[in-house]
Amino acid sequence: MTRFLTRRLLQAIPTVVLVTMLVFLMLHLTPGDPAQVLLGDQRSTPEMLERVRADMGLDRPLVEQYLTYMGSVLGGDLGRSLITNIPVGESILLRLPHTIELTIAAMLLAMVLGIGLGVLAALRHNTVVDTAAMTLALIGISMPVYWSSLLLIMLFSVGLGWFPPIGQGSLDRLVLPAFALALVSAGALARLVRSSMLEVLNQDYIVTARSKGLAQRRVIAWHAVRNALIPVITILGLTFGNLLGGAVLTETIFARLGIGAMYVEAVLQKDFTLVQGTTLFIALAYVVINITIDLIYLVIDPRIRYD
Amino acid sequence: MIDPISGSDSTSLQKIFVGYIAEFREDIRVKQKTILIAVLVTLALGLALTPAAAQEQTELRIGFSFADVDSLDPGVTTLSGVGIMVGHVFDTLIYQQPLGTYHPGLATEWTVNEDATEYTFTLRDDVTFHDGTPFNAEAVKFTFDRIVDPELNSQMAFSFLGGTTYQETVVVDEFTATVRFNSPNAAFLDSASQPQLGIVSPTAVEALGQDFGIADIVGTGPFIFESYTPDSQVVLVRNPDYNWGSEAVFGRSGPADLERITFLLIEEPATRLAALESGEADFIDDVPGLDVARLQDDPDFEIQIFQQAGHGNSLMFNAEREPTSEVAVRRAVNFAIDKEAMIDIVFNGFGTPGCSALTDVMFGYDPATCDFYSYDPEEAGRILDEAGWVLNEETGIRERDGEPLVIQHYAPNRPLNAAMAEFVQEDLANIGVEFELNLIDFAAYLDIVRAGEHNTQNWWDTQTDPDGVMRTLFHSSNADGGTNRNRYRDDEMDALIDQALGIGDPEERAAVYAEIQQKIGDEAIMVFFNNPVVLYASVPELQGLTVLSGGFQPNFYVASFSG
Repeated sequence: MTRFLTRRLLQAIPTVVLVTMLVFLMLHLTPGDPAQVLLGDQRSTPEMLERVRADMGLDRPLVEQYLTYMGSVLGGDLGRSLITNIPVGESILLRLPHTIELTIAAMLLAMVLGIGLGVLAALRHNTVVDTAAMTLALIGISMPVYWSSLLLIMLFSVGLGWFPPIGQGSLDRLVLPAFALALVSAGALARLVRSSMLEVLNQDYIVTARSKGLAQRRVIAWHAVRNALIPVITILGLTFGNLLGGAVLTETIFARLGIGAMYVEAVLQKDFTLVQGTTLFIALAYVVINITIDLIYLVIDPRIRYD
Repeated sequence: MIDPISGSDSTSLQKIFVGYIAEFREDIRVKQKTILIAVLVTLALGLALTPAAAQEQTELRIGFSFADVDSLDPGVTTLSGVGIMVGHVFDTLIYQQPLGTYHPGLATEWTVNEDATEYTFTLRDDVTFHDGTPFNAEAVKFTFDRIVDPELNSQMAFSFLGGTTYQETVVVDEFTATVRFNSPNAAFLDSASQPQLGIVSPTAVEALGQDFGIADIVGTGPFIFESYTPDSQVVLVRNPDYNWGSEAVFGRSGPADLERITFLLIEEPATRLAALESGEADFIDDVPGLDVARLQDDPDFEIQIFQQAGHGNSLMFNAEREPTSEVAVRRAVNFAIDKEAMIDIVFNGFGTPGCSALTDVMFGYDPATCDFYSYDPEEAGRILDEAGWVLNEETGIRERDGEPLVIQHYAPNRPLNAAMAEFVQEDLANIGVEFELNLIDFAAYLDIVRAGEHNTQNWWDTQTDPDGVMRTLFHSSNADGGTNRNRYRDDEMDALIDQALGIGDPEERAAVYAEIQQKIGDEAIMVFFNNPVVLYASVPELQGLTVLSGGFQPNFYVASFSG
């Protein structure tokens, strides 16, 4: 087990380094220059632009810029944002709790809704319940996040006044964005769980369990659902990625502090240090989540052994 | 429990997981009960977390569209939105209301020498900064000298201060300061009334170093900086010692009624509006034009409309690139655009057709510019015919020597830019000109237009002195990758702009600006779409809004809630 973890963590190092290199290259190869963004539409002379570029270190060769950056990262310093001059580590830490809160809430909601609907649809296969559940799932998948977000705001904030439309820091401000964010993933999960359940329900061991006189509820809960969830675990990692992508939109629309909204803004402004720092962070998060999912397999499917 | 597949014992995690699923399968009554409880709990939470209506509201929450903050340091920021916020924390030497009329601020009196190179300010002797530092002529000198220090990399404040023409600030005595320029700067009174030239506390700047503008800002204004959460909010609290407000502008001088102002940074227009409508915000700026009529009919909200100073929405022609280098093409485009219809369609009916580089509320605006171009597509066609651009009936595009008449338009990909560009595209198609849209991201856009690889781009500006607008757009010193992306270079124009800056007498100065505007019209250097409006919405209880800077800077110093 320890060996497995050590190996996986070591394997992650080249992945993370490669990601930083790729992002660094992409940022520098696409058009746009943070110095120009900073000056924007201000009255400015070419000399001013050069001065700003020199200040940002952009006048040095690419390789040197990359190595200098990685050097300071290894020393624990992610640098300061080129545009706002706020330390990158501080920027990430300020937003991180809110993004984690949103992602986890959305993930839980998506699991509850998705697994619930999926199991229900499979058990009531080819009935009105099944059709209704799958229609709901389809709506969930098809509605763009920004659209469902605005609808939720119109209904629950402006119309009914139940939840505030903006901000973070309390449970009532989490409900709408988490729900909006969860819808797409819930729909996808519901469809997956349904087909997985249907497959499992036709397996011999279910028939065996039933024929040996186990209660229906027990058969479903202990034998069917548990085995149907194995493929679901696999896509939870991907779901996390989807949620992070969706968080970009929900964080913007609900005016929430968050990594997603910050990341996109940083890319648009060519804020190299902020993009790099955040990328590094997200890459690490992915590594951790994938390892965690590998560990969850161990729990859910004891056939799997890593040693 | 033994698992039939693996034969192993189930772990505790499984128990939780499966137990949860089992619960989901509980009989229908339990489920209903659970849902009912969940709904009740959510409702209770919602109620508990909703702030109780205060007896008398003293906190103002503003849904603020300028969500980007580069720095809250007035000398450093390049964003006019930051100026609106920090205008409450910093006082300026003088105030301007309405445009062109100046009133005492931190300075009680001021004199300008004949050629506008020397400004002497007599300062108040009873002012202290929020950190206890006394305000005096040294602080004025510190503030201005700091702005021209290359280390600071100041852009906006630097250009307000006259850029390289700023010579020095002389401390005549403790409460008298003289600001000197190398060359005439008649625009300096306007500049001195801008929050970017607000006076900063020297002690605080020295103590905070590069964290001034991020961790804290210290001025003399009616509000004290409390906190800034990037992408989220800026909070200001009342300065209880404030006793030096500009009576002439605000009608009072003592501390503010509001105890706290929170700028909620909400970029998304629909969300900003929802914040107002759900009671999360008391005031919002940049109200979506489409929603104004609805809010106007609603007794719960009030709309305020101001005419915008500076420069409206417009189209810049690159004079150094075919085919917009041709005056005939530029004139034809000017005749081809139906500005009335554009205002209805793109600007939701707000504002009036534009005529000049200055909006119609600006000092120096010349109404005669409206005689230059009316909507006349036939005239546009005639001009192009004359210039040899003949319509190719097959393609619908005009050609000359086999070259089609194509204009490459570049703009950052934002809804308003797209709406304007699509409108122009249609009007130009009517006269056989292809207007090709390149809506790209801001950084890539700047690359292209600064390099002069565009034919056209948009402009919009809120400066309050005509010099700023004219110099930005038409002076050759800004033509090399600067803001004059007309890439218009003309010695006579440069001379006129510089001359106007050196005239202290307003009437004489206005006459030179009229000449400049005529020249712009003659050569069809740009197309001026509109004289825009600024739209604010608030709850009706909010009273005492002051709007400075020609409608652009809402100020809440004397605001309060009634009833």
